[in-house]
Amino acid sequence: MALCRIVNALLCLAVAAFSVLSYSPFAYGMFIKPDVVPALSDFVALSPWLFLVALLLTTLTLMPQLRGGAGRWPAAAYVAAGSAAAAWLFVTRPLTTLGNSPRALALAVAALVPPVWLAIIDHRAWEPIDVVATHRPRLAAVALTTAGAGWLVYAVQAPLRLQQAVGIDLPPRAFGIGIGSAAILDLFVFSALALALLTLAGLASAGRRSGIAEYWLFVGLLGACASLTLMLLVCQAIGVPGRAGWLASAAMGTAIGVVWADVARLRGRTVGAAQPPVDALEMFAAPVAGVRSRAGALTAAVVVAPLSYVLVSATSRFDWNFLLQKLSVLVVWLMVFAVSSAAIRRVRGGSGWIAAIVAAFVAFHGLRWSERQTLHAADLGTRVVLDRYAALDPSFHLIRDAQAARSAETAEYYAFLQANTLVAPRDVQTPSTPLVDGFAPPLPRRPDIYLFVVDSLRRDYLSPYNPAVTFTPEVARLAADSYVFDRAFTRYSGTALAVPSIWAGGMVVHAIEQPDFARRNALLDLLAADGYQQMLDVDNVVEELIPRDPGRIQLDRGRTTMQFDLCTTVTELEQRVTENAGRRPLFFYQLPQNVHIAIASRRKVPEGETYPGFFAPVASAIRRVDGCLGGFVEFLKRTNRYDDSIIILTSDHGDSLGEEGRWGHAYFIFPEVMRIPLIVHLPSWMKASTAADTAAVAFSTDLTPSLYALLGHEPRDRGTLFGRPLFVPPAADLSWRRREQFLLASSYGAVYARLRQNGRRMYVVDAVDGRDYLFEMEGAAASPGRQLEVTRETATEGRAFIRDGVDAIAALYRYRPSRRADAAGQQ
Amino acid sequence: MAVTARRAVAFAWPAVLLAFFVATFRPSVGGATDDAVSPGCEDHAPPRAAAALERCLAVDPGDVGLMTDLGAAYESAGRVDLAERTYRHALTIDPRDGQVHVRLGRILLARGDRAGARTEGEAALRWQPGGADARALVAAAAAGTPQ
Repeated sequence: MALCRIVNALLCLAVAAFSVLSYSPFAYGMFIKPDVVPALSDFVALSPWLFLVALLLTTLTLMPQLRGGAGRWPAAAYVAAGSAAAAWLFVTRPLTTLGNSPRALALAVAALVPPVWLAIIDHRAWEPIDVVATHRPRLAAVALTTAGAGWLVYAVQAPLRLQQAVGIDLPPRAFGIGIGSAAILDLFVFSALALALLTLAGLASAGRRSGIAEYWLFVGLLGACASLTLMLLVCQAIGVPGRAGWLASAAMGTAIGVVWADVARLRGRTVGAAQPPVDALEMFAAPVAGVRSRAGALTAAVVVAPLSYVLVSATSRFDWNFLLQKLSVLVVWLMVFAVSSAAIRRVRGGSGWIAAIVAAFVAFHGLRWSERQTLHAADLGTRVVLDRYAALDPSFHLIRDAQAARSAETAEYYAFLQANTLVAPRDVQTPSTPLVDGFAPPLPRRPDIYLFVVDSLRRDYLSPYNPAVTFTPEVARLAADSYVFDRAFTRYSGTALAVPSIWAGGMVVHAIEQPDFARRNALLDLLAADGYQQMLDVDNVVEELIPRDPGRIQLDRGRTTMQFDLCTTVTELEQRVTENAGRRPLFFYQLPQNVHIAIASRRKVPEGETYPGFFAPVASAIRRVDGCLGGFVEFLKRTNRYDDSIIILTSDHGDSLGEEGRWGHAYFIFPEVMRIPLIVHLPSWMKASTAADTAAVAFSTDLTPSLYALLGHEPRDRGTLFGRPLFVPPAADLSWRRREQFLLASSYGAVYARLRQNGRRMYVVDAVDGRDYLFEMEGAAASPGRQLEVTRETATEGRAFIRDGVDAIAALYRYRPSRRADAAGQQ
Repeated sequence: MAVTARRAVAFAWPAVLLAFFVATFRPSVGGATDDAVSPGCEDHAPPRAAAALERCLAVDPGDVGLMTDLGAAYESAGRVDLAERTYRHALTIDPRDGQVHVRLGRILLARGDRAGARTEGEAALRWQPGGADARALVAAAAAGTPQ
């Protein structure tokens, strides 16, 4: 019966979680709409059936009540309402049609009603269990034991993770510092838990039924912690701040607490009236360890360590900035706590545990003092060591991130960034920002343009950037006859804004949906002015940027964005190019998904292919892309089009492939995500009249202005928020790029960066995780960049620059963030 | 009365300690760490005088842009040897800076080192293909005319 309640609750929580994701504009736009995670679509399709199965199983467990036992009417009402809900689910398929709407939030809350209702039925139906207050030393002992065991669970995995990790240089001494620090932090956190439990126990002792009051206070603490965790960890990360975030978090946290109590009640039924009463802690731990069940406790103890390893390994590659890993840590801690409670039945009195708590306090502050002392160490300061160790130990990572401090000034700054991030399209007025005052007459000779923006392609996975790469010979051949921009960056770390910024030729308002984008679509204006025939893949981002045009040739019809495969597209493209022979010049654009980690990871690496030093699934996908791209270039050469073509190979952003434990491209800004390849082939007759600085910092936002310049429409200088031509007349100044500083941004969160010193230094302020970073990025390809300590001056100057840039974008779009800033500041 | 007081103490002491734990969990300052403030080197308009640039470089010895400015300041002041040394040092940090190659090449050419100037001009052209300054330097080195 308890198992049935757990299954039912997990299903309802999953529906609620999916609904909250749908409610988040960016999570909907980036994950759900383009079907990045097929398992989500499968879940949506199966959800009515899953609900039906859960309802049938639940009805079976309610038979004693339905036959006339206590709680008959609530049980009957549950079955009736559940049947109606099942019918509604089958008829309307609400998860399929939910979309990004306020309805999603309502459904999230409504989905949590069934488990709460069942808990009420169970508490009415089953006899109450006699619960007594917990012996105080036992409370403290269980919490402190959890600290030790919880630390051990993850510490023993750390050496293994160090072997598997990419780019973590942690000598044995530094590793020892990390592991020791993790023990201190765990001890500190669980000492605080011990004190919280003792406080609640003290509070409960004021009443008559202190045992049961204590138990419910523990359940309440669990619900409150779950709510806070969901708000601060999850809702902030997926862009659901403010009241909606608090509502969803409180509802889910409450449901978790109530289901926990329900399962505890059901598992505690085994205690007979003749047996001595259970204490509040044992009752609280019952969902995991049972009540007086050695088998249950033993099973949980045996399972917890491998489970913790599997959870982290299974989620790491598609995690959202460690979110799932951190949540798995909380689950594991809860299990360890329950097992510790089952293992420690009796504790003698004495003050040893008080000494342990005081020692935890002293050790924690000693560690902080040591961290401060080594801030300016030439190489590995304690802070950098601990940051690196955090990549190996998710429990340490969780605590360390929670420690991020915010002064009042910093909190105000974060509120400012958050108010300017993921803004509502209705709050902005899109300006018209033409790159030229008027188009010059089209050149008599206009080259075809092929723009390949390979989603998530990293520069150091291409041989022109990294001599260790042996699997991209065709790209190397193309590069030998092209401009290879060595320090190319994206302005945005995610597709949602990176692609619009390419088309606009500059930074855009921080909104997942770009309102009135036609006013900023400089690339489309150019194509229209110069009479280009468009041949496009219309992905889920581009379809929002360009109006429908019957004259446009849409490639890959019938495929969804995640199915865009460069190899199949170029086959169709070659045919279309042949058909277009002698007509208008062509413009081709595609955002192929071959390299995206969600696609590459699913593709099996062919037997015999090995990629030492590279993430094999991605390297193998790139090898395939390389072959297809090479085939297309050969086609252009064979048909005498090559010297009449501009071929651009770039990406919307890079990707983390295990660097310091990071995977994918969430809202974070790291060198491997911001640096991109940029290879531009020009017809020889264009090369003769242009110059370029290929070692100067360049951006994907420079592409559109560059095309303007190459096609004879010299774009105006609109400042550093906009792109500028990469190709200039030979006598033009080539050095300005090296001196300027540039604003970069995350696409999905309030994370911004200042790039300076010709792309060598990147200061990042992360208002989601509450951290500042500084990176140095050398030209060498082997390492995307290394982390440096952030000095106060760097932070002050960097923040001022970022504020100016963000303000400038707001002014451009006539966006007034004051109301949102107030709301964010109150959080 | 005594029982009530005992209960109050039993509740209060862990609550007080807990407050200490929670209050000191996060450090008291923001994400950035304390550091001596350097003399405005990261301002949007960096200093132009050689002395100020030297101070800035002492703070950030890897800033090639500052080094280039410093080399230019030395050249303006007639301290060509210092300028050359500065440019050479800049190229050890970023050998792909075409502008520094050109500046160094001009100094070499002025001194009569045509081969050195040509090498620098060609290096500049490698990273700045089509650049007029680099092409002019190579041509001047070939012809032996100072720029």
